[in-house]
Amino acid sequence: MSHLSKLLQNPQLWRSGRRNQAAGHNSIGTGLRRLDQALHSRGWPLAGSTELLCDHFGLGELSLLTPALAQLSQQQAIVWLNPPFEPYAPALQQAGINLEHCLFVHCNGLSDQLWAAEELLRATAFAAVLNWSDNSKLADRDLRRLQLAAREQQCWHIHFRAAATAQHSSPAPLRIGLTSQNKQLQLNVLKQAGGPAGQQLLIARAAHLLHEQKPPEYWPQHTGNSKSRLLLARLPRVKTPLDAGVELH
Amino acid sequence: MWLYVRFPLLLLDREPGAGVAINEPQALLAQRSILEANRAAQAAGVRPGQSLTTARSLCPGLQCRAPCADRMQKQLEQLALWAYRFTPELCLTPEGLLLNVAGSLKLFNGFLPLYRRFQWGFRKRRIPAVYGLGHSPLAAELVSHSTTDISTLLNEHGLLDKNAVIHLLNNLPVKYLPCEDKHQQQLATLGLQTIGAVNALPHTALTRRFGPFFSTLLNRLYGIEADPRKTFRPPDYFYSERQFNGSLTRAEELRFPIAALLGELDYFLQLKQWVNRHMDWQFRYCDGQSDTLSMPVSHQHVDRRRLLRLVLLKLEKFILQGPVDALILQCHRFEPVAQRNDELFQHNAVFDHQRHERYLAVLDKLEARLGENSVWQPALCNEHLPEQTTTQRHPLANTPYSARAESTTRPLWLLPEAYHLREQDGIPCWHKPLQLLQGPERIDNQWWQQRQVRDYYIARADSGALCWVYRDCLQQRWYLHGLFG
Repeated sequence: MSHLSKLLQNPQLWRSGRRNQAAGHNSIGTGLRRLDQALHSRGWPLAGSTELLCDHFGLGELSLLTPALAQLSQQQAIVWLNPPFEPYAPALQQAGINLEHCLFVHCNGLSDQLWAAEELLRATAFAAVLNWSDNSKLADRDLRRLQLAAREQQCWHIHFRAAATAQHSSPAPLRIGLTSQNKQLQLNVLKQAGGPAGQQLLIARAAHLLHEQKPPEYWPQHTGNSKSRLLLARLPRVKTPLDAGVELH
Repeated sequence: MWLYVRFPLLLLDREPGAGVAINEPQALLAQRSILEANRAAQAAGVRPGQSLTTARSLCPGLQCRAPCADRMQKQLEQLALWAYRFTPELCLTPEGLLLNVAGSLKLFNGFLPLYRRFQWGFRKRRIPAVYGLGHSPLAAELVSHSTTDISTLLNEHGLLDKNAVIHLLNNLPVKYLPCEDKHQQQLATLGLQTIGAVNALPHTALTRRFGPFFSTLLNRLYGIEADPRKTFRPPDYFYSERQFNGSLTRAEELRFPIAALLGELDYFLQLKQWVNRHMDWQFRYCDGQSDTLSMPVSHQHVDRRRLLRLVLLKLEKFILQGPVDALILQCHRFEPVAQRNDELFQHNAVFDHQRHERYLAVLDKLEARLGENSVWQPALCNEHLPEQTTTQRHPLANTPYSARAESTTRPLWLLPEAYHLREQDGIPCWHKPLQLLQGPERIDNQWWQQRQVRDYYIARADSGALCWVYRDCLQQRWYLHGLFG
């Protein structure tokens, strides 16, 4: 009997219909209650690879991670390996990420990138490594090396890959497909440790981004010939405290 | 208790000269007579003291050159740096090193263990050395000319037997006395053969005949008068080289000489309590060309094995141009070793030193393989144009952050260069027409040079991506500048 209970407590064992409690020990909250509930680890797993599969940028793929990264970056360093564009520092700061703990690494070529990723994961000096692979196909052996390095050294490896790789198998314990669905970010959990996968979530973008400020007829019109004059937007007149006669000193 | 080490073949062995193989007969020449001959020349019968014509007739292929005092001095300085570990009282003489080992006997468990380490060190470097031991610096120098094994000069306690040294000195030929040729001839005409015979004469008579210098010389030799010498100070830079004489052709073979040079550097830095910030490697080829390889390092304390791995990593991408003649390691920039305080209670630690150490190690590795500019951190500047608000800084640069709280909405992705968007009916298109959501936010800047007037909008693309676009009000064109990731 004791053998059986020991076996049941093994986190590697998947039991259908029941959440694995052991999986939630080493995780960090995502900042979104619904996502925390959907993940068996109750948050982002802090060790091992997390694959995020998306084809487009600007869907909200980074703001999904920023609450967790902001928390991690207060004490420990975070590496951005080969980001597709420049991560804009003022925006990172707005999101609460400590810039002094951010390190950007750029390298050319697949072999250099795999080498750098493994070195960074094995360094045990970083809390998270964000890694962007281009469309080149990664061998299963390389992915497994990265996953093992991340798991052994307790480092969160966030691996951004193309959506087409969802068809291929991967050793990463958590894989999430990201698409845009009707102004929202759709998360499709393809695989996760400790329980069944297949959860689908819709996460709304930040309200201040989607706020439609003015109807389109107020946008600046281009008249063509007047190059010297600046065409400014005709802003709708709003009553401000200044108009109400408050004097400024 | 002074130990003297003379290096008879140092210049001939270490510096064979351009285009000369080590096993060809060579000799050093002074005033048309042979000063020193290497092993090949000695095998042919060439002996020091022979005239050039005699030597040439004995060995027709003999190559002669004049000794270079500067090169000798440089070689001796390198050896002195190694020998400095045995005693701080170390002097350079034109031919060798002079060490006062009296203070180091206890540390090395007596003279013989120290002497054995000395012999082993020079044998490993394949430098022929001749030893002398004496109670005064001059005595040690002169004893090195005698063929007696210096271990016979020790008493049963392992200490110097002064009487044995004096006995040995008394029997040494007069020609080894460091005095002028004129005086040597005078001594010969007086019929004095040994130093003991000279010393037995009354010193006042010697002073009258040879000048006051001569009696001082004898007093110093017998340890009656003090003989102050200028002690060697390790230089403030590191320079070391290894000669291969063209026998080295592959980069993998460099591993062991590199490890040896790093060992020397490690010792030098420990001596000075410094850490280096730069390593300059120079590969000198047989044809006189040379390649340099400089690499920055950012460690906090020197770990020889880690440095070796780093250098080998850097060498992976480095191609040797030909057979290597000499390998040189130089370091000029140093910093004092940072003393750090460890926390008494680990869980209270504010700053994790070990983690920081690992962070520096991985930085060095990345820079060694990917190049110096491949790693950076963002730094904020007080500029208004979005592309100018951040600059790249080296992770270890000490530039302060001018952190600026910005309240306006900014995208997480910024395109490295603004992407020109085509315009359709006044609406910008990125593949398909964009839907402008909010704006404009005007940035009007740089009126003093190239004026920039931009109206920034947030727009939604057909793919669902939120874009940060701007209309250049001067050029009347639309650009995509960022993405809300």
